[in-house]
Amino acid sequence: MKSLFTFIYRRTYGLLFVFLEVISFYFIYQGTNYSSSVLLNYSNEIAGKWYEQKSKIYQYFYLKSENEKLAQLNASLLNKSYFAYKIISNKEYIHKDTSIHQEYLFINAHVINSTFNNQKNYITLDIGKNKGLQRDMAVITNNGIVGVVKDVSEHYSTVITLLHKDFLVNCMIKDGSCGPLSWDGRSREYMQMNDVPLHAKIKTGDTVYTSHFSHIFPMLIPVGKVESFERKQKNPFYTVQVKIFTDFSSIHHVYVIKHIYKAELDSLQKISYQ
Amino acid sequence: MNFSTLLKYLFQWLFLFILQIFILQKIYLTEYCVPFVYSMFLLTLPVNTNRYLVLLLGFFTGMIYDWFYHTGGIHTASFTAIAYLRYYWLKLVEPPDEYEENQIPVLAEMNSSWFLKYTFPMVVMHHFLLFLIEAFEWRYLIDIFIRTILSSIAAEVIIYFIHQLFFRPKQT
Repeated sequence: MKSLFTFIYRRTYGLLFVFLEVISFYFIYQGTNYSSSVLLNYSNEIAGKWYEQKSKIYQYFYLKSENEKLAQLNASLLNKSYFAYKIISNKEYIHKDTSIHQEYLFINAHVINSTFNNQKNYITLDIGKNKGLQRDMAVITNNGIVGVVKDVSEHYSTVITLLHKDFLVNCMIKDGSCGPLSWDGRSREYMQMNDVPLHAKIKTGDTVYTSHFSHIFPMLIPVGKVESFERKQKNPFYTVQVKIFTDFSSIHHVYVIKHIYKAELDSLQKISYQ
Repeated sequence: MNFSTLLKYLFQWLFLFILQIFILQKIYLTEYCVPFVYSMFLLTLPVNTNRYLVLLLGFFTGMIYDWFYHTGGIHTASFTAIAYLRYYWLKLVEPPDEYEENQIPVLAEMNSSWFLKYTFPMVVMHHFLLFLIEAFEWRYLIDIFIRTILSSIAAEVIIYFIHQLFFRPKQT
């Protein structure tokens, strides 16, 4: 017993090191396993407050380009609005359509921090539980998809971006062939779409959209363009390089998409898919 | 260690934090050049600092960077390892005429060849561990090597210039 104590006493430095390393690897494990522990949420709040102050300063540098983008969006929305149409009938028209109902709700948010240099990249938004955000909601910009909500605290939330090794979304090329889109961790401009069948009629420059298989993203949101495609080592599939539309170094306004009937869909699938 | 030295180190910690989070995080040259300069903080602590204190400082500094990078424990793990290795590395690179009492291993007090010999391997080690733990797969090994080399050279250049600009030789 005495020799054990002398051993521990002599090796305190090494043992303390091993102990701290075990803790940090536990952090890594926890971070990759979607755990929202108290500590993680707490650190989210602290970092969120700090980043909010920081982005208040940075926002001024982007005002001009942001205004332009919003003006473009305004114009495209005005085109779809009531004023853009000419009345060709004298009858009163009440828009009360019972054949459609709203499935997705769009929530406006600001990006207060973003990373794009790592293998696993995240952005932080300035809204959280207070605006009804939940895990696994989709995040998009005017011209492309951004990612999926990961952790939500009271006033902030973190989002897994496309540039994250664990991110996967089902996409569709113009001709209708589907496949999962993911990132290999190299260039932040390109993502890879695997398992595209060989009979698919792909051309370079075709637009890639989100597909109807994704329960998180609405259908037909543009994602990127086909840059090249190849068949690797007699695989029965194409691997397609996709140049993504979203520029992660300059995203400031995003929209979080809430699927209104998600709980219903999930519970139904849970019953049937067992 | 007196109060003014403590204040100096606190200021240096904050300066590196702001440099890393505000500026270097926003700069994107290629995906292969991602410098992390905050290891300079541990490297410039006085030689006779308590090694347990260094280890704990490394752990908590890494943890704070992890919070701000949303990376779980990658920075914590690699920076604790650097803190652990510092003690042995200082013994290995000790110049023949030994360290003085309260020696601070900065460029202003040592010659530049010794400074490079001391800091560069540690910076390389820091980046290598960081990128290795981050990727956690051997198939990225070549990518990790390229990233390590380019990033550490960039980080070393930045550290060298910070030392040239801000550290004055001790007045005797």
